[in-house]
Amino acid sequence: MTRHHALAAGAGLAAVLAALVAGPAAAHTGQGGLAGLTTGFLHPITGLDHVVAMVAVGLWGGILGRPAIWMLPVIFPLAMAVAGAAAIAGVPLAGVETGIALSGIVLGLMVLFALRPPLWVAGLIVGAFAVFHGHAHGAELPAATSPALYAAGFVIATGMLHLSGIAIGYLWRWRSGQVAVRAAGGAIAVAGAAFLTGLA
Amino acid sequence: MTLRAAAAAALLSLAAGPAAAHGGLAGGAGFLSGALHPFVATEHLVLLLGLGLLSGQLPPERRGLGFAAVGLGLLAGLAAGRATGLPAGVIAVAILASACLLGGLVALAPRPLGWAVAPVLAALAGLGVGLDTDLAAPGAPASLGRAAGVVAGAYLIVLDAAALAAWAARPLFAIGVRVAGSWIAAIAFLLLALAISRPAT
Repeated sequence: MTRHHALAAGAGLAAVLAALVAGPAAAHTGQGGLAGLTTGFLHPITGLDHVVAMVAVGLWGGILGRPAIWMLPVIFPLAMAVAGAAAIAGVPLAGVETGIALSGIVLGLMVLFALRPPLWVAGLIVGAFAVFHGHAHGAELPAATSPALYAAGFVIATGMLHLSGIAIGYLWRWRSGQVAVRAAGGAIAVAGAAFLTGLA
Repeated sequence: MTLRAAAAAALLSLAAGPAAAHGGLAGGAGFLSGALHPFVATEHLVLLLGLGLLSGQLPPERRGLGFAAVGLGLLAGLAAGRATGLPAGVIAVAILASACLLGGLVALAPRPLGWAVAPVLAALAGLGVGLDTDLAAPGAPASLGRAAGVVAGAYLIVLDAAALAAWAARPLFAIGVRVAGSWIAAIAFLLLALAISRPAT
């Protein structure tokens, strides 16, 4: 693959993105426009409780290395989608906000102490917390102007936050970087505690 | 045909406008509306993006069969059209379920895939998109131009996603492709939940 491949692909991707904000196609779910996509995209980003947990998933993946570095950011949106679908179906979930705050605390502590449980345990922890985030997003989805684009927006924003965490997690290979990553984990845990206690 | 050439050809075909000095405006408009249809029908878009990413993850020598299969499936679906009598809601659910599967394979499947997996899924994806596409554009009769446009638009999505996935073969970027696959599966799953909870009227 050469640079030209990338340019051609990039141009096509731009067309895809342009199409996402284009007008509706009757008889399909892609009704609505930029507003639905933007609202969905901003939902995880404008909620600091969501942001810190998403970034922590990426950071922890960066510490754990392969295959967790891609498994965790893959498990999260899949579990989130299942919970979001449950919310759409009207299935209640108790303690959503508490679960979201706890996700910041637990995932932040995992990063702070660089804990390395077996992959399946890490996946289970991430998947369990994804349920709370997914339910919170999914509960707002049916009321959205454009539910389909809202869903696309919040899934993409969530994934991009994971990728941001992974990028920061790459600092782990340097000793000073490890200090920075641990510090970020500690800050995330503190933020989660603030959300849990209502201080933030 | 290389992936680059195919993607560029599909892109150019979309950019081309109707011949101004001739009476081809209706046909050109039909082509353009057809080409845009896979982009604005969200369930088609996620399905074709998933198929493209999966194709791009394959070794280069194994991509061609899938690319051919999606075209054959599309043509068969467009030809059969609504004559199959399948309700549109059923086809949409099948498309979204297929998109979940494709996204899941992109994200989680061990490599390499069995040689028949991608061509079979490509044929089914093309068939689904073809069956779910009305060749009569709103306010216009069915036309071959619109059918050609649908094929061009679908190929543009598949080839571009494949090109991106192939370009991202290096380990760091390959993580991004897997993550993108999980996004497609998640989005498709949510759309599936919406489609089931709010059946099209």
